[in-house]
Amino acid sequence: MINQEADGELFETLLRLAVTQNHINEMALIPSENELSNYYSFSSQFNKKIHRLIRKEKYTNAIRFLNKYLVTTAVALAIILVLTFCRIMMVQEVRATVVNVIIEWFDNNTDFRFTNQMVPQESNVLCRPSYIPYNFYEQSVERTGQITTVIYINADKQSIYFIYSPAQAGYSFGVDNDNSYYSLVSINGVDAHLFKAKSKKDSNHLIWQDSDTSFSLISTINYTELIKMAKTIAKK
Amino acid sequence: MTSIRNFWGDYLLIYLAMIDSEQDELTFINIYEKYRFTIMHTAMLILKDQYLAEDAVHNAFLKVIENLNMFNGLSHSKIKSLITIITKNKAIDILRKENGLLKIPIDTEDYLLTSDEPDPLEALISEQGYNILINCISKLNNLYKPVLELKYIYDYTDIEIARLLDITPQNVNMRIYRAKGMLREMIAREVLAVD
Repeated sequence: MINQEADGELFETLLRLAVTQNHINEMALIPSENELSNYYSFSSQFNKKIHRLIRKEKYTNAIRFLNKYLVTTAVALAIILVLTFCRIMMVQEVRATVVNVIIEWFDNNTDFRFTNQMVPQESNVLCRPSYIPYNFYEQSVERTGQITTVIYINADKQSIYFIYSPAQAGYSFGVDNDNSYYSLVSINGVDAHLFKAKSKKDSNHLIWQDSDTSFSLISTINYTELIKMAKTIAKK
Repeated sequence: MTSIRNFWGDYLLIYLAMIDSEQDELTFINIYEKYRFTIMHTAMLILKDQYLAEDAVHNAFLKVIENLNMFNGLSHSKIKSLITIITKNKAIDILRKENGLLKIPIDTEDYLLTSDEPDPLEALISEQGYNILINCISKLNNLYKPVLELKYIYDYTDIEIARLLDITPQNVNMRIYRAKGMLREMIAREVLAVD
């Protein structure tokens, strides 16, 4: 092993010396710059060619430059925008205007959030209405976290969404005020919020909460059917 | 003679426009003034064609501009040598393209010395043997020689060599390995012939 290593090192040393010596020999064969200047000249085409090559090189460099700095520029712009927005928001009139816009948006959209102070717990409560409108059947049940969505459909492809979740899960959703009439109805002694659709293409929303569960029924079918369904919901 | 100098003076301005720092500009002017005809001569020796040699000269200058920091602190002879190696490489690249040769993939043409051949090292440890080694290096393929020169004369790393020759560091490593294998084979053959 030691011999092999020594051989390897010896070969490397000899090779280094020989490569250098060979290169010196080759360089010695090249005439001086002064002599060469008498032998060589450059064609008139070289001018055009050199400009073309440089244009190509500059284009490639430009692409490289763009790739490199595009991300940096985007981040810098984002920071500038945020800082500008913060500065604008420091002006009281502007802040008041923005707040008004937000309030106006909330006026047009009712946000429901059913929650209490309890820590959310995994719920296995199964809720189903015993009454289902004529010709409707349960098509699917989806569970996302603590939220369960049951979809009923009929032969005309109309659908009813029955959504429920533990109240402490903090399930929230919005209803478009502009396209509905709001009223309060009673579901088994509990106040429920009914949003009747202004047109047939819009959905009716019925939203309520009992002691521990929040419910909503959403469909384009007549709202009275939703109320009937709501009254027959039982927990298992 | 004067017209050629003026002609080159125009090109110098073009190249200088591509350089950022003043120090790099001075380095490049020095290289340009002292070695431009050597570069042309080196390219012509390989390509034997004025038009192609001019391309190689230009490509070599671009490579020099890209790696000006590698020229700082080098002696005149080492600068001249380095430029010659770069130019040879650029000229060979053009020659290979002209001949329609593809780059040799790193996982093919693997060279291995067979165990039957005599150990060349023993034969090298003599003046005659050393001269045989130099002779073999001079005959080495132009694809492999620049890699050995950059490694053993300049002590450049594989990454630095790769940058100068426009190949990957793995390719540098493979070329060095193959060059050594070829040399061992050539030496063994030469020694057998002498015996």
